[in-house]
Amino acid sequence: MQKEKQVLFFDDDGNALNDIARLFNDEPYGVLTATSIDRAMEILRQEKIKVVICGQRMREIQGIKFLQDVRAFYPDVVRILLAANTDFASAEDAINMGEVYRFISKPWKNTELLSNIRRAIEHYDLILRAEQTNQKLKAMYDVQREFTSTVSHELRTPLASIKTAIDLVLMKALGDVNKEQAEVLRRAKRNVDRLKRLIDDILDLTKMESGKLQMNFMLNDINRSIREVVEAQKDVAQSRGLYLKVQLDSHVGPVAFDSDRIIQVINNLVGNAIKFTKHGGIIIKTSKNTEENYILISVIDTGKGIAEEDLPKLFQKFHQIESAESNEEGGTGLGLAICKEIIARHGGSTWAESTLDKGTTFHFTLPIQAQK
Amino acid sequence: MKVLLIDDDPDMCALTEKVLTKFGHEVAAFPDSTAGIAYARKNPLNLILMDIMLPGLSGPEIVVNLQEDPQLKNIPVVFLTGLVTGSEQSLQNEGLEVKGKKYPTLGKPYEIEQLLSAVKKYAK
Repeated sequence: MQKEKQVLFFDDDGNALNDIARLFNDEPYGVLTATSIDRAMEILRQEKIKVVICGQRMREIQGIKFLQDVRAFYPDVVRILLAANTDFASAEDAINMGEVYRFISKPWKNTELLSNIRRAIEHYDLILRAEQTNQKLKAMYDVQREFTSTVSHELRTPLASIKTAIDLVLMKALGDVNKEQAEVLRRAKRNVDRLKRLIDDILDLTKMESGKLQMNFMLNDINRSIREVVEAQKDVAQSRGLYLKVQLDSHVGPVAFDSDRIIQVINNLVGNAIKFTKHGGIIIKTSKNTEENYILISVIDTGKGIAEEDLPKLFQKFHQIESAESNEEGGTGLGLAICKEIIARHGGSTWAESTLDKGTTFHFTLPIQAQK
Repeated sequence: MKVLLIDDDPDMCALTEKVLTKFGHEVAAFPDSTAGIAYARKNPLNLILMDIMLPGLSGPEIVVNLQEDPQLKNIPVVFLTGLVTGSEQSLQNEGLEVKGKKYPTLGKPYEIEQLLSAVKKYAK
């Protein structure tokens, strides 16, 4: 079987080349030789050469100069310079500038030459494989992102028609709707709305994970954001007979965060707390940890609690706590994963503590940047 | 209000038209920009409501043409699109920028109240 030509020797001393070529009879790769620049370049163009070895002192060109040219046109090819010890100073520069992979001084030991070439081929294969893997991953990632975005758009278009049709009938814009019809349509509406939230959440999360979602960091007052959420959710809490209170540390001061996204997180945590609490209520607390330079935000409920083994699973995608008394609205199972991702993008952390039958507390932190 | 609606999805187009007519607006609906823009030249309008991804010229491309047209450039435009998520929509109150100008954007599926209040807010 013909051996794959992987190594090129370039030197203008043809006799020396023939001696060298004989050395490789037992090696697994094939060797080509060239005595002129033109021939060497032709071989590089035509064959899949992995390693180029050349002498330093040649009539046409200096070895280092030639290897620089090889690097410019074939950056992946591994380059080895064969030179007398007197050439070492210039060879050293070449190695340091990344022009040359190895410098082998004349006279060399054949075993040394062979093992260096073997290593050079391994080096070439390794880098090639890493690059291929990298490219494959990038391509897969692009395809997935593209796919998610397309699917989301494709799902949304038909969903929009279904939703508008149901809403239009349900709001009696097209005439009266009797009680039974309304009940059936409300069930349909609930599920359409749930599907819409699910698609939105998947798209948001994909964008966040790929770093595509722009964050708008500005110095903000976290206590104010919390009051905004309380204002928006207090009616829901009240309608379920729950209190919604705050214990805000007035010394927290301004912190850099994306106000819309942090409000989304607090809204989500408070919404969950309301959903899973039957008696009592919810307290939102802030405190400043001066020692470790962060602000701690805690959402404390008096719900039925979460078993300790379930706590770490809470923030996983599509993990939902099975509960008969959870809501009628239907979560997407992505809310907490999104919260965690948003807080991570702020450099903070998110976790939960719980005691069964006593309640659950969700904490997250926001780092305080050093004031300039 | 007189509203020009451009949406290439026939069901969505018909339903949006129905919503607007039921709530007292006058609607001219078209599946693409060519017929829509021709209509706009001949009839007075208070608002243009259009999709972003359309066959032929896209929504933003149509807007670029409108901006250069002295007769049409003052008609307010609201984009209706399946490309923005609910959370983004609340963040994008200022809307989509085309050639330095912001256009309000409503995500599909929309809430009927959102659509009606957008018409009320932007039509002129």
